[in-house]
Amino acid sequence: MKKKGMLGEQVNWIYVLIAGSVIIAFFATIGIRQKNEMEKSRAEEELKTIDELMFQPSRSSQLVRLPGIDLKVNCDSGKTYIKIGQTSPLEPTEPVFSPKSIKSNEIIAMTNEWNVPFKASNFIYLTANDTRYVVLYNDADTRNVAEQIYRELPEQSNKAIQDASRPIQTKNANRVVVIGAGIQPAAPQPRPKELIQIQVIPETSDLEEGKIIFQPNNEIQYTGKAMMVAAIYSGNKKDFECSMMKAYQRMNSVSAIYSIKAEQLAKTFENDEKCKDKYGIAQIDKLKKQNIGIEELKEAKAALDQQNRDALLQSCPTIY
Amino acid sequence: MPNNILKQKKAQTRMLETIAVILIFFMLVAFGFVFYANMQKSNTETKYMEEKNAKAIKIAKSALNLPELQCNGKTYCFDESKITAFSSGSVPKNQYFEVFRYSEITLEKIYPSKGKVQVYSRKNPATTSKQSIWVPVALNDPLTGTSFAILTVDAYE
Repeated sequence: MKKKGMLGEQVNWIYVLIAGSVIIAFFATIGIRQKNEMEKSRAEEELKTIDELMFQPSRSSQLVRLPGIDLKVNCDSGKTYIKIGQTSPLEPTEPVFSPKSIKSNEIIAMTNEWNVPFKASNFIYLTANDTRYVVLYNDADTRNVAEQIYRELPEQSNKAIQDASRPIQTKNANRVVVIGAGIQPAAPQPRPKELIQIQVIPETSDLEEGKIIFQPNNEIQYTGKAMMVAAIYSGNKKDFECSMMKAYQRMNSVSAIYSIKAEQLAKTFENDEKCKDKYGIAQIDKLKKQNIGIEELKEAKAALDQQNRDALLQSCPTIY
Repeated sequence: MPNNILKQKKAQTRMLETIAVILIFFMLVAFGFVFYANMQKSNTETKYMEEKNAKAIKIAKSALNLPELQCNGKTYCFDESKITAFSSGSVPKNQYFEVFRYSEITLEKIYPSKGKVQVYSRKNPATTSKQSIWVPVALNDPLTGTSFAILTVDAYE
């Protein structure tokens, strides 16, 4: 009898253990699922914030605090994908220039117009304060260039301008971008986790045109300061060219509209002696080409600018 | 014998007690779930409306910032000749689906002259439910000057 009682007690305890484990497992599963859902929801909110940053006015920059954000930016055939965790990626409609990965507590976003010479696209730049930008110069001329580059970077960013002869202060930044204003960019010691060295060689005094060398020897030409800053933010030729594919697509679309506008104006003023020859579409049609070279782009840009100025000087309606 | 019967009755009572406790426990859990589900439903509906609004606002912002429509370098200003060129069909609209998605964008001139132009239209065949946004804008014509207009964005789900 005693044995029967003891057995009964044991069975009872086994039953309690099994039932208890099932209940705990059930609630633990719910808890884990809720945690994952909360993380996904938080990531989606952060992505929405990033999306909203892309619609700020041109030439403005904004710093947003997003603690523990881990942003992945990828470009593939001109399309940029911005992802946080396991969320569906954000696909901005304008070109984005940024490091491939941003792990920080703050994001700095800036927008700028790319003019060819009319506005072809809004460039979006993303960075964080764990990236330090150091602009180097070594004489009065390069100092002037360095100051112009320095001013193009957002106020909120972790940036510095200094003489190249002094040691570069990395301030413990994980990623350091050293920009040589017309000079070879030196490497800081000790070397940071990620080091980008860029040399900017302007061809005009206002830095509107020139070339950029991504060390060791990847060279690109640029036209427009927006494109120069885009190269600095991208940090390498491959990512820069990928995002520029989007920019050129946008330029093709906008040029198509301006071409139609110019034709309409030409038709309206075909009998006006003063204005009739101000609306040639040859230069605009060059910008509609999908594989326009940088030199051809620069020429078309300069010619269109002159054409528009001529119209303005003659008090004729301008194309842009 | 009576001892045995007593013991059996005690055991039966205990079993019933255990079953009752478990039943009540699961009833409480069920109530909790129903309450939580209702709360989540309400939150989801609110979030859904916010998403719809945000989508329409995003499309409106995209239209306001689109270089194909905008006065060069100016915000809240559209170039009338560019609008005419854009809506004429000379430019393929399907490439703007990634910008405007399923929506209808209309520009209605209100002063000094009146007129309406459909800039973009692509309805969602699966639904007629839409969220509308209205934005006052300036409309610049290189020949006649500036007029006022309302940009209407009807965003479909």
